[in-house]
Amino acid sequence: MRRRDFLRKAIGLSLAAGGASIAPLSAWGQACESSVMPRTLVNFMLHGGADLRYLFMPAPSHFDSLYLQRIWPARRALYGNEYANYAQMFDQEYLLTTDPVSGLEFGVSRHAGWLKSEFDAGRVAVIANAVCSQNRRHDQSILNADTGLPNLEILNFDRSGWGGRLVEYLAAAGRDGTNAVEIGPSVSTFNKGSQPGSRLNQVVHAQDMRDISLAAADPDNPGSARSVLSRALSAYYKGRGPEVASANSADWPYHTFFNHHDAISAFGEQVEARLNACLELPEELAQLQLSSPEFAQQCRNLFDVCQVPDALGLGAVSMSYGGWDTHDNETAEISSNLTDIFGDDAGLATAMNAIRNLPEGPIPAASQLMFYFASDFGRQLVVNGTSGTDHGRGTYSIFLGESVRGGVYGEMFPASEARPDQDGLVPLQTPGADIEGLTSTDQLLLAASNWVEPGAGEVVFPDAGSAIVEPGFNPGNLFS
Amino acid sequence: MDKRTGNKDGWPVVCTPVRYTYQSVVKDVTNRLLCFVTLLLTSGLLAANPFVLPPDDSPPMGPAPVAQLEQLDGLATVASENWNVSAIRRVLQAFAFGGHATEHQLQVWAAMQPEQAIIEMLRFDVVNPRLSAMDGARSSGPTCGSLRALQEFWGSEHVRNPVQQFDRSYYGPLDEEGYQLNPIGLFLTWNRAMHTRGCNGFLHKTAFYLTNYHASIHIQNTFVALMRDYYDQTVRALANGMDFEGLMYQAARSGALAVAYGHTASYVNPQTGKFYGNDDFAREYFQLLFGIQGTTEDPEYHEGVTIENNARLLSGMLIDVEPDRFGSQYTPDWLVNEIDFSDHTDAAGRQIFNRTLHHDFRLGEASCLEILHEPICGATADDKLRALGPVAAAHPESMASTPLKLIRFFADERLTPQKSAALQAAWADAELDLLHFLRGYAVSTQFHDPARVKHWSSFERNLNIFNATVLDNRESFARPFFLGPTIPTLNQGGLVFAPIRDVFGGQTGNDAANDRYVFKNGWGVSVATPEYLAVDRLQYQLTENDAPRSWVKQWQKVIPQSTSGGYVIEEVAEWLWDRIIADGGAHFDVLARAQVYSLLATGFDFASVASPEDLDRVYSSQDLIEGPASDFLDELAGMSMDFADPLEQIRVGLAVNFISMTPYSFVSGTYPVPEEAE
Repeated sequence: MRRRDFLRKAIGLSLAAGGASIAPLSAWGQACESSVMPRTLVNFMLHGGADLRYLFMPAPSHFDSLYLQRIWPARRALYGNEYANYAQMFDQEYLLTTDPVSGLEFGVSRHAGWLKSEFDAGRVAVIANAVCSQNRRHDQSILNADTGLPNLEILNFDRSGWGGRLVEYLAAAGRDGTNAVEIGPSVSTFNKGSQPGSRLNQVVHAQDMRDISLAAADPDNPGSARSVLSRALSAYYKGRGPEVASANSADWPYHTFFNHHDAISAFGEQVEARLNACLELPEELAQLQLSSPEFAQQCRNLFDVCQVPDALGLGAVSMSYGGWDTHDNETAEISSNLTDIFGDDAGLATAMNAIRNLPEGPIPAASQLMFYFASDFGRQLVVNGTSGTDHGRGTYSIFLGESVRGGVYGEMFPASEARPDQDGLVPLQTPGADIEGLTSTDQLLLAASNWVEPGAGEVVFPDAGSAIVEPGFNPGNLFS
Repeated sequence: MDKRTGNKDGWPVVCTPVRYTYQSVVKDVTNRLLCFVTLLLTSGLLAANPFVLPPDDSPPMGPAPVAQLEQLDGLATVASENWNVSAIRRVLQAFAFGGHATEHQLQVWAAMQPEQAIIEMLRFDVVNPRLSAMDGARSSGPTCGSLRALQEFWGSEHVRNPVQQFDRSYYGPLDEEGYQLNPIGLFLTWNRAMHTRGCNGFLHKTAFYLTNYHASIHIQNTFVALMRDYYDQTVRALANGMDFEGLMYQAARSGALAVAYGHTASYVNPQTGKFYGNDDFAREYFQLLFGIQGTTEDPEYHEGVTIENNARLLSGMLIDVEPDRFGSQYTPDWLVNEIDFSDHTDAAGRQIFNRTLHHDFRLGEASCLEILHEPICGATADDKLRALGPVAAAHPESMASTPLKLIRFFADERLTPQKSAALQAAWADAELDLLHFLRGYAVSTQFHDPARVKHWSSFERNLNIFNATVLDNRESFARPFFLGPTIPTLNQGGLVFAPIRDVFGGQTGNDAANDRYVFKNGWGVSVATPEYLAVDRLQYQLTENDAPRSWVKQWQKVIPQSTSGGYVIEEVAEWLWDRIIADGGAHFDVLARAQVYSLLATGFDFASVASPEDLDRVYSSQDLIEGPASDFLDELAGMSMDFADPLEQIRVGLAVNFISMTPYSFVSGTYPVPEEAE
């Protein structure tokens, strides 16, 4: 056959045959079916090492007057020269609240008004003196936090995360197709599974829940370049994928991309079609304006995740917010961050309000979410010379959800920070001193995993049993 | 329809002028760039016109160097039989964003000894004509060594400026209001430099690594002037042959890092001796610049002595201000990257006491701090940084980790203990000579090992593909910025000078590989915007009064003809595959061949021509190895292309789109395809 004839024939055939054989995407459209929202942990990572001592400060009425005497000069530089004394600063910068367990009064930063409301409603647990790593290095500590292995010293990101291990447990326990869902811009180690070479097998990346499928052929124009390339690539991935799946070892690097294709093809169209049949984004979420547009998108994604949990195989969620490495100019940076996340009418307040207003299924979706706020590490107690704080270790851990037994756990403002240590140094007067870590976060996460599924914690955190816990605190009591 | 914006294209249709705030620059640049794309793609700019290319007036090549690379300890040189055009393409993709060497030049290098060829291939000269020849008048000229110079040239009305009228304001240094330096112009300029012939891709990829991954800072923390100066200073230092320790010393003393980390404000009170500052860079100097985590050190000593004293060392580094610098009215643009460590008055009339506010200034050169168990002495922070550099570079942790960081970035993410040991031996032998080390590795059996795996970052993948697709500077400059690699790379998570981990660096190959949105958006480039790689003609004006000029694609200028003189589909397909994938055809399996042959022969996918009654038919390899479909495939393979037909350019472009979205475009490696699947 001469090529010219061949071309003419081929093109004619293609154009004539194409339209009828390509099912339009709208065929996926179905009614929005409400589905049961499973208990879901949301790992919320504050990248950079958050100074959560800024978030919580003792009330001027704090019983330990020496502590008050010493924390003010240690932290005063964060608040500029505006305030004559601690009480004046506290009155302007903090909202007074009371721990329902101990009766301790303390302050929550005014920038976190919604968090304070949630605490007052009994939906927030603050665990003092928590520690998730033994070092002060960002990369290593983030790995420690994401893997749930506080003592890990090897800097190798090809490891399983505790979220990945949790969804593997859930799948093994009968929840087939359970996934860790990353709703931030990049998939964190938290999500990764335990099989080298296949660590993303149970991960859904939902950076934008409303834009999650592959560009497809144009059903109205099967001869267009778009349609031609869509068919060519789809045919290649579908044809070649099964062949290479079994013919190559697990660490064959190209598996990843065949898997991406299969996952997005199977998932993306279905999720998008389901969402199109469900509620549109509420106006306040659609129009949400935050300092971090990226975080605003995560809030939208969280709402949509709660609309179609079954389509996602929801088992765990990963969110994040960066910008906590506040070596200088801390107040401006941390205020902005806290406002975005915890402010009245800001990110989480808007998302959770929308989720609470979802049509009620058998179990309200909002009641099934449990947020865990983690960070690389805590920061030093004494403000440095550039109105910021340097890397420390101990910090506060925070859980937020309706199943939390709200309150403060551990000594919120340790008296030892205001008194000489064995070397005669007072931590609140010593540059370099940090919050002493007394409770390992893997103990907390073991309990949280058991809240999701009884028995999960001991499997996901096999070494947590021997980890440290502050005397008098039982992590098993955190959740109802 | 996007329910958030009400726009069916998913992007706002009104381009609102925005005053740049650095906190929002990443979001802003996305919206602005894509907004312009939306508007301009419908503006008739992509008009079609016949066009005849002028004669090639490229300058002749320089004299051939005679030097030969000295082999490094730990690394064996690849055997001559494994040194071929595909191997050379792999080197260029890994180290030079693919480069712009001609097919003839690749053959010449393949015929040379690897130790000789690599000296021609990888050089830190601003212009390396064999790797990327200045393309006649349509080049950037000697300005390729400086982004500042390129911005000023490409944004100007200079008579030799090859940038089209429409684009010039986007590249210019100042924003449209003339108020401040323009970050978008900087982003666009870097990307254009990477695909402009005459600019040395190896030099720039190394500078990109040093400023965006190794001693990384984010433009949000430095503002445009310091970031640009930092990059240009790094390019200059590489071109001047500075070694690794020198490069780190230069970075550590720069104003850009001092502002990004905040230690520019650190000082020691000369009366009390009390230090005011933070320990951020004091820690990261060791961890990031030299790879010293402190794991071999006593933790208390490292935290309490080395890091704390390094914080004191970094005192007296206040940077100068030069009012109206670059014509900007925005004060952060006035900051000067080169710190004057003396007591002096700057151009703004400020008294600066960098010497007096340094640790123990009264002791002058006898002012010392103990760091890494050594007395580090000098009258200023600069003097002490100069003294500390050799100590840090020679630290066992630095010697062990620096070569691995380099090679993980450029070429291999799966370093075994054996490979690592060999690289460490080579680094020790290279004596901090970065160029020698990279060249030695690039011709080593370790680099050319089929088991090597390097996932491409979005920067690398998009630039490698783009440089393989854009054939000369006429095409490069005929393309408006939105048909360049900036937007695809941005949509796949890569924005230069905005590293995703800030000081811990930009998107890695692993990041890109593990991110399904990178895959999804890469698919979108090939499927939804095929014109990006397949555009065959453009019309543009150089100046407002200039007559419209046209460019048309001429793939036949570079595609080798078969021995019989024609362009046989199978041969064109194999050449095109290797030009983009650089695996010598190892993964060019029969299913991929079916699609590429069909696209080249017909402009349609294989099912459209082999089974038009079932457009969505999925063939298996077995279907194409025997039976009617196999015969049909053979028929396609044997056909010839006729470049007198202008549609052939489109067909090649479609094939490029297909090849560049196969799994093999995401990874550099030469894994053999299992025999049973062949």
